[in-house]
Amino acid sequence: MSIELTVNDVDHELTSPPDTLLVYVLREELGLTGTHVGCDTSVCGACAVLVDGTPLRACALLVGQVEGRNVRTVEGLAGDDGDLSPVQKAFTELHALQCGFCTSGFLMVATAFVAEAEDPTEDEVRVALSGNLCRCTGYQNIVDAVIRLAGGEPT
Amino acid sequence: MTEVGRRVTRKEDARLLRGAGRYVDDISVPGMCQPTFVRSPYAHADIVAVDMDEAGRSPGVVAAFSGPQLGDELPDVPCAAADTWPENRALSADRVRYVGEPVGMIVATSVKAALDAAETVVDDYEPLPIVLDPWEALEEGAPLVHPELGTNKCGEVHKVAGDPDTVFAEADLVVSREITIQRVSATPMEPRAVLAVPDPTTGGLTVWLSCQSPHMLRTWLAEILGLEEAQLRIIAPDVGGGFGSKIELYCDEVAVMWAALRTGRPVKWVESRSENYTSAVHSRDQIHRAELAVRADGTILGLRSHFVGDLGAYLHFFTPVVPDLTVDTITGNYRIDCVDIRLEKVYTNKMSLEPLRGSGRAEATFVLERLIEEAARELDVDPVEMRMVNLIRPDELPYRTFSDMTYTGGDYPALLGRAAELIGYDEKRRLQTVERIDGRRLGIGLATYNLVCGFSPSGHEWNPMKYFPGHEVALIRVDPHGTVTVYSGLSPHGQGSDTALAQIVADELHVPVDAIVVIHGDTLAVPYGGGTHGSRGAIVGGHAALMAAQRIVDKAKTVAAAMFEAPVGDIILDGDGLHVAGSPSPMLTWAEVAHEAHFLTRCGPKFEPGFEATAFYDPPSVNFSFGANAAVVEVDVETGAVRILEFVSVDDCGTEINPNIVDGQLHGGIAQGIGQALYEELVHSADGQVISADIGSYVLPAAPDVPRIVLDRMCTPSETPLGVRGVGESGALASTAAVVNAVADALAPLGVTIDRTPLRPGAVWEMLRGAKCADGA
Repeated sequence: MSIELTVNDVDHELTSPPDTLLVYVLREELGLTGTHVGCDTSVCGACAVLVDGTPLRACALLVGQVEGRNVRTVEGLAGDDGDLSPVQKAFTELHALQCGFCTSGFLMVATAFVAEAEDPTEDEVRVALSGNLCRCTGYQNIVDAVIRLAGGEPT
Repeated sequence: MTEVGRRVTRKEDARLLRGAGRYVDDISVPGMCQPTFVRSPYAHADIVAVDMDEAGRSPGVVAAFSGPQLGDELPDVPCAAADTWPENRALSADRVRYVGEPVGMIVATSVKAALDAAETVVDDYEPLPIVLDPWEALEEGAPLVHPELGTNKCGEVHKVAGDPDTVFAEADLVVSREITIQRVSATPMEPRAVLAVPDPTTGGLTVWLSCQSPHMLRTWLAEILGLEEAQLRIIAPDVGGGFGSKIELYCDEVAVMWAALRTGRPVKWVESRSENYTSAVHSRDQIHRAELAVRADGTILGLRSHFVGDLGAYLHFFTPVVPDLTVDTITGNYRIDCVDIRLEKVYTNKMSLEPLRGSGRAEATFVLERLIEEAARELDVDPVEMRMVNLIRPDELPYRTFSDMTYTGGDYPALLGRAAELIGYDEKRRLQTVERIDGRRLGIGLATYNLVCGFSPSGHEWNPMKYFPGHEVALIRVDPHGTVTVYSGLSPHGQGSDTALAQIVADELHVPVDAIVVIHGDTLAVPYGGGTHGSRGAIVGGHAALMAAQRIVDKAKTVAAAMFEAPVGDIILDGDGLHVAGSPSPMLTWAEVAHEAHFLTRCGPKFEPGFEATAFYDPPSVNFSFGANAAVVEVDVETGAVRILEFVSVDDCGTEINPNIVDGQLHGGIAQGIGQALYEELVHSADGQVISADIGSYVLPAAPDVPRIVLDRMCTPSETPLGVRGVGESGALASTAAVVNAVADALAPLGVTIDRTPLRPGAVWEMLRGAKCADGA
């Protein structure tokens, strides 16, 4: 019995067994390599995806646990016309990425946060991003991008 | 308006934002196998056996390699920075010397099959006494990591200038401190990864490798694997951070390549994060017994330090020279001519030491700035004032340091003054005197830095390695349609140099930045370059691109001159195209000139066909950049928690190609320095295990842990055509000292002395408790 999963608006009947980690289903069965594995203790957040709009760590979910749900990965952020999403645009405009390895996780968390947040303080933004680790940027430009997206202006 | 100096959005971003980056683990080829390693659980032991027989018969296993069984069939991985080195086979055969040392490898059709087979491996060891403390390792009777050497001492560097004995004996005050700089990990977000694919055409390999220097590694690997360089293609695709930990060759990566050759199958290995902590290289790790001799008015009279650099068990790549830069840079921006600095480099039962962002220089800055801070306190001199008295002034330049470096630029007092101004120094001092009821104490800390960068001129004394390219290369091709492609020998892993180089070339060629294609990382496409490390991208890579661009302009003008039948000296290139001076039309586009250059349809053979130029740039000297940091912290004396309230960095990196990139490099370097100050440590247990071997136990700063960083700049162009200086490492140089000095400042009134980092809450709490007990309170 294959698992059914919608990923980036495409319905799939997966061949992976239900006890496969979602991140490996995405990367290996579906070829969506934009979601990355950065650690082995589900701490770094590089694997964050949206499951029915909620950011979750794909390395901490078995695909069987998300059966029938709607998963969005970084590949599913841009519009049908190929235009970068507002979150993606803000990241490039504010130089919020360097090596890019952690970026997809931040984009997914930021996308969910910005959809809900109303005029967050900088501290609230930093806490919202505290589950995603970055070694390159020192976080400041990522924080500024999210502040701007949530309607504020970076300091 | 020029492109150089503009905040151009990066060319690299679009693919990375779309999840279309290609890191090594994103690449798969048919028939690919995946290995797992059998690693020593002991820090020091004789290997009795590594029995892979059952593993070799396990389902899905293509091959099982045992270090002891293969012996010297496996390559010995050389140390780049030494003429001889203790044997370091890709898989160890006789003895293991650090926990995590690879002794066996199972290659299977899937990671799962390899891991299952690994359960059947029987490895047997005779444990030996271990040595972890570098001072103890120097003592008579310590367990020897390499008995054939007769000592754990790898080497020594000792530099003396002036008459330290007299100066120290006669000083008004000598401040003595033992300063420990803890061992840390680069922790790039992308773990190490290698995909080695046999190439039947060459008989060699195509290797996708997450690395910082593909050409240099190709040269070493050819020797190690017994191939010609032409049989080896190394490709650094998108690389998820390096920070110095991916410049080198690793035994396990070599084992993967060897296994691909041996089995004839593609082999891809991606390490786990725990493997990155135990078996990727470690950094920093020095202990200084340091002294500063001062006059009562704050003048620094001399500096002494006897320190150890803990190299770990093996000479890995740069290992034996890693701490050397600390010796030469120990005096920073200060007028200190009387110096006695002695470095002893020591083997211990740990993973090897290798460079990390600011390597050698960050440690020097930390020791120097901590001594100055402590001296100021003991003298009851204001720390800003004390630094101002001793900072080299612009009118003293050029200034030759005790270590024969010549500083030629920068206003160090102005940088410090600006940092103090931006942090609101006087106001913060006033705030400190205000009684705080809730047990939080305010502290202010400062530090200045001088970053030796732009590594490095060929043949320089800091390039003792057999194969270490100091130069950089750029090859620029204009194709028949007029599209410009720049091939650079740099190997970025987040630095954005593709964009920066395009900006330089755009200005020379009057071509839009967006239209320029930049390629790096593939040894098949790019001429021999040096890679990305040591803050050399702008200085060395940028000038190679500039030179190549100028040669392209010369060729374009030659072709245009032939097409216009005008002297080449009359040809103008500007934003509209190429035309004869004084006549804006007729005008030739790049496409028209390129077509003619390739196909000679209009002018016949008036010039050599083709449209490309290569330039190799060898920097005439090392370069310097400089700056000052200031930090304000708040320490909760009940919990020991440290919060950085404000952080200022005033930096002078000369001409900036892309200020966004400069800001980003500073933010990232400062965050790493803060990590060193407050959070990070590779902790070893008494039996040599790295117990902080996962992200979590090894505490990386997250967004709430890094303050808003206020950046300001000064600009002293370097004496190069572009005027650039290095900045990649700048942020990591003084930030640790600024934060630790701030904590010391906050807690000194309570009798606390700070002698080691990181200043985790538990450590600070212990220090507070110790001071309280000493007080009898």
